Amino acid sequence: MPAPPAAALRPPSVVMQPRRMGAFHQTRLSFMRALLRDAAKEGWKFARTVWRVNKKGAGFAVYELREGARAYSLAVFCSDLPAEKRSDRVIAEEWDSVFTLCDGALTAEEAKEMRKDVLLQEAGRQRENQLVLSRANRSVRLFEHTADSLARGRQPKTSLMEEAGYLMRTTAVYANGKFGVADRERICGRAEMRAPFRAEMLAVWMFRVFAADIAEHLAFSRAPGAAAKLSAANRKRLGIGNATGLGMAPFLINHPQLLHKWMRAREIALARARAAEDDDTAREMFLREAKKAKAHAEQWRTDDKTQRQKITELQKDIARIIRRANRREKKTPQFWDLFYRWGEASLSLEGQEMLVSLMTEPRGDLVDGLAQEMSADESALFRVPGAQKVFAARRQLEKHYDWALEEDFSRAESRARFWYVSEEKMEPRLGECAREPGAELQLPLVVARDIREFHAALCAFDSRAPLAEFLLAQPQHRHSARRLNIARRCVYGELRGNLASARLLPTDMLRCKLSFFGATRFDPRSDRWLRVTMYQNAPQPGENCGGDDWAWASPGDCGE
Amino acid sequence: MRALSLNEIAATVGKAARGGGLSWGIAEETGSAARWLAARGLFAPAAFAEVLEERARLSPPLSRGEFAPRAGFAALCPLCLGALLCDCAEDIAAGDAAAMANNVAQPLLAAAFLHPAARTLKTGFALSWRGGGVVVFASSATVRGDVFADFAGTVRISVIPPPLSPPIKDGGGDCCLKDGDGRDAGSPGWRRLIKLAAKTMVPSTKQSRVRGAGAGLTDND
Repeated sequence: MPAPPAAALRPPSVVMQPRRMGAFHQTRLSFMRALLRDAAKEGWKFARTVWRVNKKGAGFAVYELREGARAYSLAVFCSDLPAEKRSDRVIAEEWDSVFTLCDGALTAEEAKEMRKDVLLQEAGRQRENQLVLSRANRSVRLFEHTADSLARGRQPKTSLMEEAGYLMRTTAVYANGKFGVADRERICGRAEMRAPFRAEMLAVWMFRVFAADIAEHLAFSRAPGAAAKLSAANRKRLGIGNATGLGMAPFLINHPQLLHKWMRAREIALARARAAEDDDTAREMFLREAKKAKAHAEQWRTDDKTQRQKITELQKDIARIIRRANRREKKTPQFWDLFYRWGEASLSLEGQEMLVSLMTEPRGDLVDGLAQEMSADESALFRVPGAQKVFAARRQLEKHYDWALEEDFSRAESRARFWYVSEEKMEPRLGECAREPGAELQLPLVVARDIREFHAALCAFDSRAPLAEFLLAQPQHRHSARRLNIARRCVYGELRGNLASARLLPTDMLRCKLSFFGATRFDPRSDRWLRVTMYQNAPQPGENCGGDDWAWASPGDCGE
Repeated sequence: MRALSLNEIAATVGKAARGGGLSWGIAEETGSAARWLAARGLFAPAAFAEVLEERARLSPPLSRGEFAPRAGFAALCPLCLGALLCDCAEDIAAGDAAAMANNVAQPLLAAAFLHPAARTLKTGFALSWRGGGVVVFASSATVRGDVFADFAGTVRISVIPPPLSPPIKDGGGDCCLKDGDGRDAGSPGWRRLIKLAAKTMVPSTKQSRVRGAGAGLTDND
């Protein structure tokens, strides 16, 4: 089938700017949404198969999802954690619940056997049949209120539910071989697991059911005769929270091939939406989604002053988008392209990227297939092209890294920071060069600076020599030589920013990645970590309501 | 025994290589080579640890034309040699005569660096030494004799057409790991690699714990 018509793609010089990437919103291509579409299409079955939890909320449960002949099981171990031990952060050591997604069905006895290692999280050795390892804490704002309300036979307050957005929030979600869980190779050949981060998305979606179940369980334990169940609408209203720290930022730099695939799919989606026909159905759907987006932006809470300003601008932008979409213009083939160009000239970055999400929303037929193209075989471009001549490498570098060569490293603020791995938790952290020790151990994440040094060294070397000879003499540039070889084929692979700069906001990178996951309600808690909500207003596993129309769906939309 | 995952092996060996003083680029390839070996049951953590702990005594190759240690060094570093072999794979593939390397420590490690070249050039690379050898294809290997030799005086490098029905492993030699199972997280060799990898990490201070990880606001909500 020939590719649908498309407008020109936005160039990397526009798209790969940290500030813009930090303004991304979820789209149809986001991994949670692709998962829900597949689940609905293939009719995945879901059941709670084990529930052994005592009155205080300690014990374990198993949930099972069946996809055709295959089963995936989520084992959850929960405790009654004292409030002072509860922390959002990866540096915590105890949690309200820990969980693991396993390949295959799991009996209660098998699950029980895993308890000790799963509780240990990073400190334990996990098993090969485990696909995901994670943990979660109860929301201080909402969980107790919910359990208490239900025990009194009432539903929790809507305003509180809207403010918090979730009953429990996860911190780290580990997969792909971490701490002994299965390598991605074990599952990436399966159609249902091919998409990036699919196992992680699935585990969190299943865990969301547990978060509601445990609140109901505690309510029934407290008032066996009087307790109410959480209504289906409220179950739908509540997502799962996630607190994300710096660890995600290096990911985007360390996986240029994957980043390219994600960004390119999103850009193609926009280009197709811009070239799509101007029909009434699309206009109506666009308008409906814009209204939902507006309601969503009004519910979006944060204590972060900068983000609050951005949200205010976004609310105004969406209002302008709605006004423009309501204008009864004559149909023209360029309607959507002109709409986008208007947005580019008139809206804030948050608004422009919201327009990208909204314009692709009515275009499932043109866009959803692109979700299949968001994985990457990263070994494909791993090899350094040693036979390439120095002059050719230099020419390519000047073409693909013009932005890096223009970066000004003379000012102190552009050399202010370094990224390193902490010995304590083996997690990435950010240090101040002037005040903290350890800069000599920094990670190779300041791409612009490394590329400039690589360029200077290439210029000073025999231009007809092969790279093999250059790299034998100067092996310190080998990492950059590999990046260059990837960059020439993956134009959306490099974030065009300086990671050593005091002005760079790591949360921009986190938000970009989280938007690809499908997270919403980004709430920066500092410049280095943020909270988000996942699966809010989404259907439950095993429920079939199209799987798609959930992003900002108002409660009651799902056939209730 | 809980087996190490391939990803853990690649990540830890890569960090250990960096901790052992190699450039980031070669460290990445060292991790990838370890992963490739592990997927074929050929990963001996002690062999990597040995090379990385003894790096000061090992030399990078003299030049592109001469795969031999520099004066004053006992042996070639197999990791530096491996990276260069991979870079020169087109030349090796084009030449009829076999290339040769002298005084190579842990020659199997050098061979494992060739798997990306085997993939892009769609061919196999054979490294053979007295008493043993290995043929490296993109996703399979054939081993012969003492494949885990600590040292080889002469290593011959040649090109082999890819097998018709890969993957195959083992050409009848006695292929057994001398470090117990290479994927055992409790093995002494693995512990040595963990120690080397720790050299890339910065010890925590109170400041880094709070500032560097970016807390500052209450964690609970």
